[in-house]
Amino acid sequence: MQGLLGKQISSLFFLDQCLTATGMYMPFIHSDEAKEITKPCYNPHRSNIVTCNDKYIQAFLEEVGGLDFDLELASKLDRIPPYIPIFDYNSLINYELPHDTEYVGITLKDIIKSGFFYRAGTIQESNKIQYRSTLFNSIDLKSKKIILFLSGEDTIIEGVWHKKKHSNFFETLLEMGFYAVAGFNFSLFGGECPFSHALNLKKSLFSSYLLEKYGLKTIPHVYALNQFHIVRWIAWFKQNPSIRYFTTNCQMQKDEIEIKWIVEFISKLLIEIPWLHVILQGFNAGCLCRFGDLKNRIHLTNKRPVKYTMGNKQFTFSVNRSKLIVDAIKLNNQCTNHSNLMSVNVVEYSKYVEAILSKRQV
Amino acid sequence: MGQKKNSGRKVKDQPIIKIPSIKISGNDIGHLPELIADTCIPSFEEPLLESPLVKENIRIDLSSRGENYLIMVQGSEIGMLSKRNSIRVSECLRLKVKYMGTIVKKKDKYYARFIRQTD
Repeated sequence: MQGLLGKQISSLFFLDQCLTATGMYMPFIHSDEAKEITKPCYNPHRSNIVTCNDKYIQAFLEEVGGLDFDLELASKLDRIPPYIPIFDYNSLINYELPHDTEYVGITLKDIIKSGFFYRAGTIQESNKIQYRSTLFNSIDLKSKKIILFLSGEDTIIEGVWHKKKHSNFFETLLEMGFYAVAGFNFSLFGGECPFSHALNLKKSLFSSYLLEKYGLKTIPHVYALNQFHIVRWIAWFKQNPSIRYFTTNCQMQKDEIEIKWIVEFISKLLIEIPWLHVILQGFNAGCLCRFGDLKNRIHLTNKRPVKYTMGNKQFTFSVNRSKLIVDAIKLNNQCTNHSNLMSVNVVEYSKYVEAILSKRQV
Repeated sequence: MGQKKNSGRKVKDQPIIKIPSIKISGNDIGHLPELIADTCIPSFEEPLLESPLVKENIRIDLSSRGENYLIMVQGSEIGMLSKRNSIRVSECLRLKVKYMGTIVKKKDKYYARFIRQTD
Protein backbone atom coordinates (compact mmCIF):
# COMPACT_ATOMS: atom_id res chain seq x y z
CA MET A 1 0.00 0.00 0.00
CA GLN A 2 2.86 2.29 0.90
CA GLY A 3 4.46 1.51 -2.47
CA LEU A 4 1.30 2.45 -4.32
CA LEU A 5 0.97 5.69 -2.37
CA GLY A 6 4.62 6.50 -2.99
CA LYS A 7 4.11 5.86 -6.70
CA GLN A 8 1.11 8.18 -6.80
CA ILE A 9 3.00 10.97 -5.01
CA SER A 10 6.02 10.59 -7.33
CA SER A 11 3.68 10.61 -10.29
CA LEU A 12 2.10 13.92 -9.26
CA PHE A 13 5.51 15.37 -8.47
CA PHE A 14 7.13 14.52 -11.80
CA LEU A 15 4.07 15.01 -14.03
CA ASP A 16 4.57 18.79 -14.24
CA GLN A 17 8.09 18.33 -15.58
CA CYS A 18 7.07 16.07 -18.42
CA LEU A 19 6.43 17.77 -21.74
CA THR A 20 4.47 14.78 -23.02
CA ALA A 21 1.73 15.67 -20.49
CA THR A 22 0.94 18.77 -22.55
CA GLY A 23 -0.01 16.63 -25.53
CA MET A 24 2.70 18.16 -27.71
CA TYR A 25 3.73 14.73 -29.03
CA MET A 26 0.20 13.53 -29.80
CA PRO A 27 -0.83 11.34 -31.60
CA PHE A 28 2.43 9.45 -31.03
CA ILE A 29 2.49 9.93 -27.26
CA HIS A 30 -0.86 10.30 -25.53
CA SER A 31 -0.87 12.95 -22.80
CA ASP A 32 -2.30 10.37 -20.36
CA GLU A 33 0.90 8.31 -20.63
CA ALA A 34 2.60 10.94 -18.46
CA LYS A 35 0.33 9.96 -15.56
CA GLU A 36 2.41 6.82 -15.08
CA ILE A 37 5.67 8.70 -14.47
CA THR A 38 7.53 7.85 -11.26
CA LYS A 39 11.00 9.05 -12.34
CA PRO A 40 12.13 12.59 -13.15
CA CYS A 41 12.41 13.61 -16.80
CA TYR A 42 15.36 15.81 -15.81
CA ASN A 43 18.24 13.66 -17.03
CA PRO A 44 21.13 15.95 -17.99
CA HIS A 45 23.62 13.08 -18.18
CA ARG A 46 21.29 11.16 -20.50
CA SER A 47 21.61 8.11 -18.34
CA ASN A 48 19.88 5.06 -19.91
CA ILE A 49 17.29 7.05 -21.85
CA VAL A 50 16.52 10.20 -23.84
CA THR A 51 13.75 12.14 -22.09
CA CYS A 52 11.43 14.94 -23.22
CA ASN A 53 13.75 17.45 -21.49
CA ASP A 54 16.80 16.58 -23.56
CA LYS A 55 18.53 19.54 -25.16
CA TYR A 56 19.38 17.53 -28.28
CA ILE A 57 16.05 15.78 -28.68
CA GLN A 58 15.86 16.83 -32.33
CA ALA A 59 19.01 14.91 -33.25
CA PHE A 60 17.54 11.69 -31.84
CA LEU A 61 14.24 12.26 -33.63
CA GLU A 62 15.95 13.04 -36.92
CA GLU A 63 17.99 9.85 -36.73
CA VAL A 64 14.87 7.66 -36.79
CA GLY A 65 12.61 9.91 -38.86
CA GLY A 66 10.42 11.12 -35.98
CA LEU A 67 8.10 9.16 -33.70
CA ASP A 68 5.58 8.16 -36.36
CA PHE A 69 5.50 4.43 -37.22
CA ASP A 70 5.46 5.43 -40.88
CA LEU A 71 7.86 2.75 -42.10
CA GLU A 72 6.90 -0.06 -44.43
CA LEU A 73 8.41 -3.50 -44.08
CA ALA A 74 8.00 -6.42 -46.46
CA SER A 75 10.10 -9.31 -45.07
CA LYS A 76 8.48 -12.66 -45.81
CA LEU A 77 9.64 -15.59 -43.75
CA ASP A 78 9.09 -19.30 -44.31
CA ARG A 79 7.13 -21.24 -41.74
CA ILE A 80 9.03 -21.09 -38.48
CA PRO A 81 8.91 -24.09 -36.09
CA PRO A 82 7.29 -23.78 -32.64
CA TYR A 83 10.70 -23.89 -30.96
CA ILE A 84 14.03 -22.34 -31.97
CA PRO A 85 17.07 -23.18 -29.81
CA ILE A 86 19.49 -20.33 -29.16
CA PHE A 87 23.18 -21.23 -29.19
CA ASP A 88 25.94 -19.16 -27.68
CA TYR A 89 29.36 -18.63 -29.24
CA ASN A 90 31.10 -21.39 -27.30
CA SER A 91 28.54 -24.03 -28.13
CA LEU A 92 28.58 -23.00 -31.80
CA ILE A 93 32.33 -23.41 -32.19
CA ASN A 94 32.90 -26.36 -29.89
CA TYR A 95 30.02 -28.69 -30.53
CA GLU A 96 28.27 -30.22 -33.46
CA LEU A 97 24.79 -28.82 -33.89
CA PRO A 98 21.79 -31.15 -34.00
CA HIS A 99 21.39 -32.39 -37.60
CA ASP A 100 17.62 -32.27 -37.73
CA THR A 101 17.33 -28.75 -36.34
CA GLU A 102 16.84 -26.41 -39.27
CA TYR A 103 16.40 -23.14 -37.38
CA VAL A 104 18.96 -21.85 -34.92
CA GLY A 105 19.02 -18.61 -32.93
CA ILE A 106 21.92 -16.49 -31.71
CA THR A 107 22.02 -13.20 -29.80
CA LEU A 108 24.00 -10.01 -30.36
CA LYS A 109 26.80 -10.53 -27.83
CA ASP A 110 27.75 -13.85 -29.42
CA ILE A 111 28.63 -12.23 -32.73
CA ILE A 112 30.78 -9.57 -31.06
CA LYS A 113 34.52 -10.29 -30.97
CA SER A 114 35.58 -7.18 -29.03
CA GLY A 115 34.22 -3.81 -28.01
CA PHE A 116 32.70 -4.55 -24.62
CA PHE A 117 34.12 -5.96 -21.44
CA TYR A 118 33.06 -6.65 -17.90
CA ARG A 119 35.10 -4.78 -15.27
CA ALA A 120 34.58 -3.71 -11.66
CA GLY A 121 31.02 -5.02 -11.65
CA THR A 122 29.77 -3.20 -14.76
CA ILE A 123 29.69 -3.66 -18.53
CA GLN A 124 32.04 -1.19 -20.20
CA GLU A 125 32.64 -0.13 -23.74
CA SER A 126 35.87 0.29 -25.69
CA ASN A 127 36.37 2.57 -28.67
CA LYS A 128 36.08 0.02 -31.43
CA ILE A 129 33.69 -2.87 -32.02
CA GLN A 130 34.73 -5.93 -33.97
CA TYR A 131 32.38 -8.69 -35.08
CA ARG A 132 32.91 -12.41 -35.59
CA SER A 133 32.19 -12.06 -39.29
CA THR A 134 33.45 -15.53 -40.23
CA LEU A 135 31.54 -17.36 -37.52
CA PHE A 136 29.23 -19.22 -39.89
CA ASN A 137 31.80 -20.24 -42.47
CA SER A 138 31.74 -23.88 -41.43
CA ILE A 139 29.72 -26.21 -43.64
CA ASP A 140 27.70 -27.42 -40.68
CA LEU A 141 26.30 -23.95 -40.02
CA LYS A 142 25.75 -23.08 -43.65
CA SER A 143 22.98 -25.66 -43.84
CA LYS A 144 21.09 -23.95 -41.00
CA LYS A 145 18.70 -21.03 -41.04
CA ILE A 146 20.21 -18.75 -38.42
CA ILE A 147 18.13 -16.01 -36.83
CA LEU A 148 19.95 -13.22 -35.04
CA PHE A 149 18.12 -11.71 -32.08
CA LEU A 150 19.47 -8.23 -31.36
CA SER A 151 18.88 -8.50 -27.65
CA GLY A 152 21.22 -8.20 -24.69
CA GLU A 153 22.42 -5.65 -22.17
CA ASP A 154 21.58 -1.99 -22.84
CA THR A 155 25.27 -1.04 -22.86
CA ILE A 156 25.85 -3.47 -25.73
CA ILE A 157 22.68 -2.62 -27.63
CA GLU A 158 23.12 1.14 -27.36
CA GLY A 159 26.87 0.86 -28.02
CA VAL A 160 26.40 -1.14 -31.23
CA TRP A 161 23.58 1.17 -32.33
CA HIS A 162 25.73 4.27 -31.78
CA LYS A 163 28.66 2.76 -33.68
CA LYS A 164 26.57 0.99 -36.33
CA LYS A 165 28.02 3.05 -39.15
CA HIS A 166 31.66 3.10 -38.06
CA SER A 167 31.65 -0.62 -37.28
CA ASN A 168 29.91 -1.53 -40.58
CA PHE A 169 27.31 -3.36 -38.54
CA PHE A 170 24.66 -3.91 -41.20
CA GLU A 171 27.19 -4.76 -43.92
CA THR A 172 28.73 -7.37 -41.58
CA LEU A 173 25.36 -8.95 -40.81
CA LEU A 174 24.63 -9.25 -44.53
CA GLU A 175 28.02 -10.84 -45.11
CA MET A 176 27.44 -13.34 -42.30
CA GLY A 177 24.43 -14.77 -44.10
CA PHE A 178 21.68 -14.69 -41.49
CA TYR A 179 18.33 -16.07 -42.53
CA ALA A 180 16.65 -13.23 -40.63
CA VAL A 181 17.55 -10.59 -38.06
CA ALA A 182 15.17 -9.33 -35.39
CA GLY A 183 14.94 -5.62 -34.66
CA PHE A 184 16.97 -4.16 -31.79
CA ASN A 185 15.47 -4.70 -28.37
CA PHE A 186 15.70 -1.17 -26.96
CA SER A 187 14.50 -1.10 -23.36
CA LEU A 188 11.20 0.22 -22.06
CA PHE A 189 10.81 0.67 -18.32
CA GLY A 190 7.54 1.66 -16.68
CA GLY A 191 7.60 4.96 -14.75
CA GLU A 192 10.17 6.56 -17.06
CA CYS A 193 9.47 9.44 -19.45
CA PRO A 194 6.94 8.41 -22.15
CA PHE A 195 9.13 10.14 -24.72
CA SER A 196 11.85 7.57 -24.03
CA HIS A 197 9.30 4.79 -24.60
CA ALA A 198 8.09 6.25 -27.90
CA LEU A 199 11.64 6.91 -29.10
CA ASN A 200 12.81 3.39 -28.27
CA LEU A 201 9.79 1.80 -29.95
CA LYS A 202 10.54 3.78 -33.09
CA LYS A 203 14.28 3.10 -32.87
CA SER A 204 13.52 -0.62 -32.81
CA LEU A 205 11.18 -0.39 -35.80
CA PHE A 206 13.69 1.81 -37.61
CA SER A 207 16.40 -0.78 -37.00
CA SER A 208 14.21 -3.34 -38.80
CA TYR A 209 13.78 -0.83 -41.62
CA LEU A 210 17.56 -0.46 -41.90
CA LEU A 211 18.02 -4.24 -41.87
CA GLU A 212 15.67 -4.53 -44.85
CA LYS A 213 17.39 -1.63 -46.56
CA TYR A 214 20.65 -3.56 -46.35
CA GLY A 215 19.02 -6.63 -47.88
CA LEU A 216 18.29 -8.66 -44.75
CA LYS A 217 14.98 -10.23 -43.78
CA THR A 218 13.75 -8.79 -40.52
CA ILE A 219 11.45 -9.69 -37.66
CA PRO A 220 10.18 -6.52 -35.94
CA HIS A 221 10.78 -6.41 -32.22
CA VAL A 222 7.67 -5.26 -30.34
CA TYR A 223 7.33 -3.96 -26.81
CA ALA A 224 4.29 -2.29 -25.28
CA LEU A 225 3.82 -0.85 -21.82
CA ASN A 226 0.28 0.46 -22.18
CA GLN A 227 -2.88 0.42 -24.30
CA PHE A 228 -1.67 3.38 -26.37
CA HIS A 229 1.38 1.41 -27.48
CA ILE A 230 -0.79 -1.59 -28.35
CA VAL A 231 -3.11 0.55 -30.50
CA ARG A 232 -0.12 1.96 -32.39
CA TRP A 233 1.28 -1.50 -33.10
CA ILE A 234 -2.10 -2.83 -34.26
CA ALA A 235 -2.40 0.06 -36.71
CA TRP A 236 1.13 -0.57 -37.97
CA PHE A 237 0.64 -4.32 -38.49
CA LYS A 238 -2.61 -3.67 -40.38
CA GLN A 239 -0.66 -1.44 -42.75
CA ASN A 240 2.09 -4.04 -43.15
CA PRO A 241 0.25 -7.28 -43.95
CA SER A 242 3.30 -9.06 -45.32
CA ILE A 243 4.82 -9.12 -41.83
CA ARG A 244 3.70 -12.45 -40.35
CA TYR A 245 6.15 -12.67 -37.46
CA PHE A 246 7.19 -10.35 -34.71
CA THR A 247 9.30 -11.01 -31.64
CA THR A 248 9.29 -9.89 -28.00
CA ASN A 249 12.07 -10.38 -25.52
CA CYS A 250 10.49 -11.71 -22.32
CA GLN A 251 13.62 -12.43 -20.29
CA MET A 252 12.67 -9.90 -17.60
CA GLN A 253 9.15 -11.24 -17.22
CA LYS A 254 9.59 -13.24 -14.03
CA ASP A 255 6.84 -12.12 -11.68
CA GLU A 256 3.10 -12.57 -12.04
CA ILE A 257 2.31 -8.93 -12.94
CA GLU A 258 4.86 -8.90 -15.76
CA ILE A 259 3.82 -12.30 -17.16
CA LYS A 260 0.16 -11.31 -17.04
CA TRP A 261 0.90 -8.13 -18.98
CA ILE A 262 2.92 -9.95 -21.66
CA VAL A 263 0.07 -12.42 -22.16
CA GLU A 264 -2.43 -9.55 -22.33
CA PHE A 265 -0.57 -7.40 -24.82
CA ILE A 266 0.55 -10.24 -27.09
CA SER A 267 -2.97 -11.72 -27.08
CA LYS A 268 -4.46 -8.38 -28.09
CA LEU A 269 -2.13 -8.12 -31.07
CA LEU A 270 -2.79 -11.71 -32.16
CA ILE A 271 -6.57 -11.33 -31.85
CA GLU A 272 -6.62 -8.10 -33.83
CA ILE A 273 -4.21 -9.32 -36.52
CA PRO A 274 -5.23 -12.89 -37.39
CA TRP A 275 -2.23 -13.62 -39.65
CA LEU A 276 0.33 -12.67 -37.04
CA HIS A 277 2.68 -15.02 -35.16
CA VAL A 278 5.00 -14.13 -32.28
CA ILE A 279 8.41 -15.48 -31.32
CA LEU A 280 8.77 -15.09 -27.56
CA GLN A 281 12.38 -14.83 -26.40
CA GLY A 282 13.03 -16.43 -23.03
CA PHE A 283 9.38 -16.74 -21.99
CA ASN A 284 8.61 -19.29 -19.28
CA ALA A 285 7.46 -22.39 -21.22
CA GLY A 286 5.22 -23.40 -18.34
CA CYS A 287 3.16 -20.22 -18.85
CA LEU A 288 2.57 -20.74 -22.59
CA CYS A 289 -0.81 -22.37 -21.89
CA ARG A 290 -2.07 -18.95 -20.74
CA PHE A 291 -2.37 -17.92 -24.38
CA GLY A 292 -5.32 -20.33 -24.75
CA ASP A 293 -6.45 -20.83 -28.34
CA LEU A 294 -3.80 -18.44 -29.62
CA LYS A 295 -1.07 -20.93 -28.75
CA ASN A 296 -0.78 -22.20 -32.31
CA ARG A 297 0.58 -18.78 -33.27
CA ILE A 298 3.16 -18.67 -30.53
CA HIS A 299 6.80 -19.69 -31.01
CA LEU A 300 9.40 -19.94 -28.31
CA THR A 301 13.13 -19.37 -28.39
CA ASN A 302 15.61 -19.74 -25.53
CA LYS A 303 19.00 -21.12 -24.45
CA ARG A 304 17.58 -23.77 -22.15
CA PRO A 305 18.89 -26.91 -23.92
CA VAL A 306 22.36 -25.32 -24.26
CA LYS A 307 22.50 -24.25 -20.61
CA TYR A 308 21.37 -27.63 -19.34
CA THR A 309 23.84 -29.43 -21.63
CA MET A 310 26.69 -27.36 -20.17
CA GLY A 311 25.52 -28.40 -16.73
CA ASN A 312 25.57 -32.10 -17.77
CA LYS A 313 21.81 -32.40 -17.50
CA GLN A 314 19.70 -34.48 -19.86
CA PHE A 315 16.13 -33.75 -20.91
CA THR A 316 13.58 -36.46 -21.54
CA PHE A 317 10.09 -35.55 -22.61
CA SER A 318 7.52 -37.85 -21.11
CA VAL A 319 4.63 -38.06 -23.58
CA ASN A 320 2.28 -39.72 -21.10
CA ARG A 321 2.86 -37.16 -18.38
CA SER A 322 3.40 -34.21 -20.79
CA LYS A 323 6.36 -33.35 -18.65
CA LEU A 324 10.03 -32.55 -19.16
CA ILE A 325 12.21 -34.75 -16.97
CA VAL A 326 15.71 -33.52 -16.10
CA ASP A 327 18.44 -35.98 -15.11
CA ALA A 328 22.03 -35.27 -14.07
CA ILE A 329 24.45 -37.42 -16.08
CA LYS A 330 28.15 -38.22 -16.08
CA LEU A 331 30.12 -37.68 -19.31
CA ASN A 332 33.37 -39.45 -20.17
CA ASN A 333 34.44 -37.59 -23.27
CA GLN A 334 33.14 -34.05 -22.66
CA CYS A 335 33.33 -32.74 -26.23
CA THR A 336 31.80 -35.64 -28.16
CA ASN A 337 29.28 -36.38 -25.50
CA HIS A 338 28.23 -32.78 -25.12
CA SER A 339 27.44 -32.69 -28.85
CA ASN A 340 25.29 -35.78 -28.47
CA LEU A 341 23.69 -34.49 -25.30
CA MET A 342 22.98 -31.16 -27.00
CA SER A 343 21.16 -32.94 -29.84
CA VAL A 344 19.11 -34.98 -27.38
CA ASN A 345 18.26 -31.92 -25.29
CA VAL A 346 17.22 -29.81 -28.28
CA VAL A 347 15.01 -32.59 -29.64
CA GLU A 348 13.40 -33.39 -26.28
CA TYR A 349 12.85 -29.74 -25.38
CA SER A 350 11.33 -29.10 -28.82
CA LYS A 351 8.90 -31.99 -28.22
CA TYR A 352 8.00 -30.50 -24.84
CA VAL A 353 7.29 -27.04 -26.28
CA GLU A 354 5.36 -28.50 -29.22
CA ALA A 355 3.25 -30.55 -26.81
CA ILE A 356 2.36 -27.46 -24.76
CA LEU A 357 1.56 -25.40 -27.83
CA SER A 358 -0.54 -28.08 -29.49
CA LYS A 359 -2.50 -29.02 -26.37
CA ARG A 360 -6.16 -28.20 -26.85
CA GLN A 361 -7.95 -26.03 -24.35
CA VAL A 362 -10.58 -27.83 -22.29
CA MET B 1 17.86 -5.24 -22.04
CA GLY B 2 14.15 -5.63 -21.80
CA GLN B 3 10.74 -4.38 -20.91
CA LYS B 4 9.27 -3.98 -17.45
CA LYS B 5 6.00 -2.47 -16.33
CA ASN B 6 7.70 -1.55 -13.09
CA SER B 7 11.16 -0.05 -13.12
CA GLY B 8 14.13 -2.26 -12.33
CA ARG B 9 17.26 -1.29 -14.18
CA LYS B 10 20.41 -3.20 -13.33
CA VAL B 11 23.29 -1.30 -11.68
CA LYS B 12 25.84 -3.11 -13.84
CA ASP B 13 24.17 -1.95 -17.06
CA GLN B 14 23.62 1.83 -17.13
CA PRO B 15 24.74 3.30 -20.46
CA ILE B 16 24.93 6.98 -21.25
CA ILE B 17 23.06 7.57 -24.48
CA LYS B 18 25.17 9.49 -26.96
CA ILE B 19 23.98 11.78 -29.72
CA PRO B 20 23.70 9.87 -33.01
CA SER B 21 27.19 9.88 -34.52
CA ILE B 22 25.97 11.09 -37.90
CA LYS B 23 24.80 14.28 -36.16
CA ILE B 24 28.13 15.03 -34.49
CA SER B 25 30.47 17.28 -36.42
CA GLY B 26 33.36 19.55 -35.44
CA ASN B 27 32.50 21.65 -32.41
CA ASP B 28 29.45 19.56 -31.53
CA ILE B 29 31.48 16.81 -29.87
CA GLY B 30 31.72 18.30 -26.37
CA HIS B 31 28.13 17.87 -25.08
CA LEU B 32 27.76 16.92 -21.43
CA PRO B 33 26.60 13.28 -21.81
CA GLU B 34 29.28 12.63 -24.46
CA LEU B 35 31.94 14.19 -22.23
CA ILE B 36 30.76 12.05 -19.32
CA ALA B 37 30.77 8.90 -21.42
CA ASP B 38 34.35 9.63 -22.47
CA THR B 39 35.66 10.76 -19.08
CA CYS B 40 33.73 8.89 -16.41
CA ILE B 41 33.93 5.13 -16.89
CA PRO B 42 30.96 3.18 -15.44
CA SER B 43 33.04 1.73 -12.59
CA PHE B 44 36.54 1.10 -11.29
CA GLU B 45 38.20 -0.74 -8.42
CA GLU B 46 41.11 -0.11 -6.09
CA PRO B 47 42.75 -2.89 -4.05
CA LEU B 48 42.43 -2.59 -0.26
CA LEU B 49 44.62 -3.93 2.47
CA GLU B 50 42.97 -6.14 5.06
CA SER B 51 41.94 -4.38 8.23
CA PRO B 52 39.17 -4.85 10.80
CA LEU B 53 37.28 -2.04 9.06
CA VAL B 54 37.42 -3.70 5.66
CA LYS B 55 34.33 -5.86 5.28
CA GLU B 56 32.36 -6.95 2.25
CA ASN B 57 29.39 -4.82 1.10
CA ILE B 58 30.26 -1.91 3.41
CA ARG B 59 29.66 1.54 1.96
CA ILE B 60 32.79 3.65 1.52
CA ASP B 61 33.37 7.36 0.95
CA LEU B 62 36.02 9.44 -0.74
CA SER B 63 37.76 12.35 0.92
CA SER B 64 40.09 14.68 -0.96
CA ARG B 65 43.58 15.37 0.32
CA GLY B 66 45.42 17.68 -2.03
CA GLU B 67 45.34 16.09 -5.46
CA ASN B 68 44.57 12.63 -4.10
CA TYR B 69 41.49 10.92 -2.75
CA LEU B 70 41.44 8.83 0.38
CA ILE B 71 39.09 5.87 0.75
CA MET B 72 37.23 6.15 4.03
CA VAL B 73 35.02 3.91 6.15
CA GLN B 74 33.08 5.61 8.94
CA GLY B 75 35.64 8.42 9.07
CA SER B 76 38.72 6.13 9.03
CA GLU B 77 41.15 5.91 6.15
CA ILE B 78 41.41 2.43 4.58
CA GLY B 79 43.15 3.22 1.29
CA MET B 80 43.90 5.72 -1.41
CA LEU B 81 42.91 6.10 -5.06
CA SER B 82 45.64 5.82 -7.67
CA LYS B 83 46.73 9.08 -9.31
CA ARG B 84 44.79 8.14 -12.46
CA ASN B 85 41.58 7.45 -10.58
CA SER B 86 42.01 10.57 -8.42
CA ILE B 87 42.20 12.69 -11.59
CA ARG B 88 39.18 10.84 -12.97
CA VAL B 89 37.10 11.47 -9.83
CA SER B 90 38.04 15.18 -9.82
CA GLU B 91 37.17 15.61 -13.51
CA CYS B 92 33.89 13.78 -13.09
CA LEU B 93 32.94 15.85 -10.05
CA ARG B 94 33.34 18.93 -12.23
CA LEU B 95 30.85 17.31 -14.62
CA LYS B 96 28.57 16.67 -11.59
CA VAL B 97 29.10 12.91 -11.71
CA LYS B 98 29.80 11.13 -8.45
CA TYR B 99 31.01 7.63 -7.77
CA MET B 100 29.41 5.53 -5.07
CA GLY B 101 31.67 3.01 -3.38
CA THR B 102 31.29 -0.36 -1.66
CA ILE B 103 33.76 -3.03 -0.61
CA VAL B 104 33.77 -6.23 -2.68
CA LYS B 105 35.69 -9.45 -2.13
CA LYS B 106 37.22 -11.35 -5.04
CA LYS B 107 39.41 -14.43 -4.62
CA ASP B 108 40.01 -13.63 -0.94
CA LYS B 109 41.15 -10.08 -1.70
CA TYR B 110 39.24 -6.92 -0.91
CA TYR B 111 38.62 -4.08 -3.35
CA ALA B 112 36.93 -0.72 -3.16
CA ARG B 113 34.45 -0.69 -6.07
CA PHE B 114 33.17 2.68 -7.29
CA ILE B 115 30.15 2.87 -9.56
CA ARG B 116 29.20 5.97 -11.55
CA GLN B 117 26.07 7.78 -10.36
CA THR B 118 24.32 9.94 -12.91
CA ASP B 119 21.07 11.85 -12.76
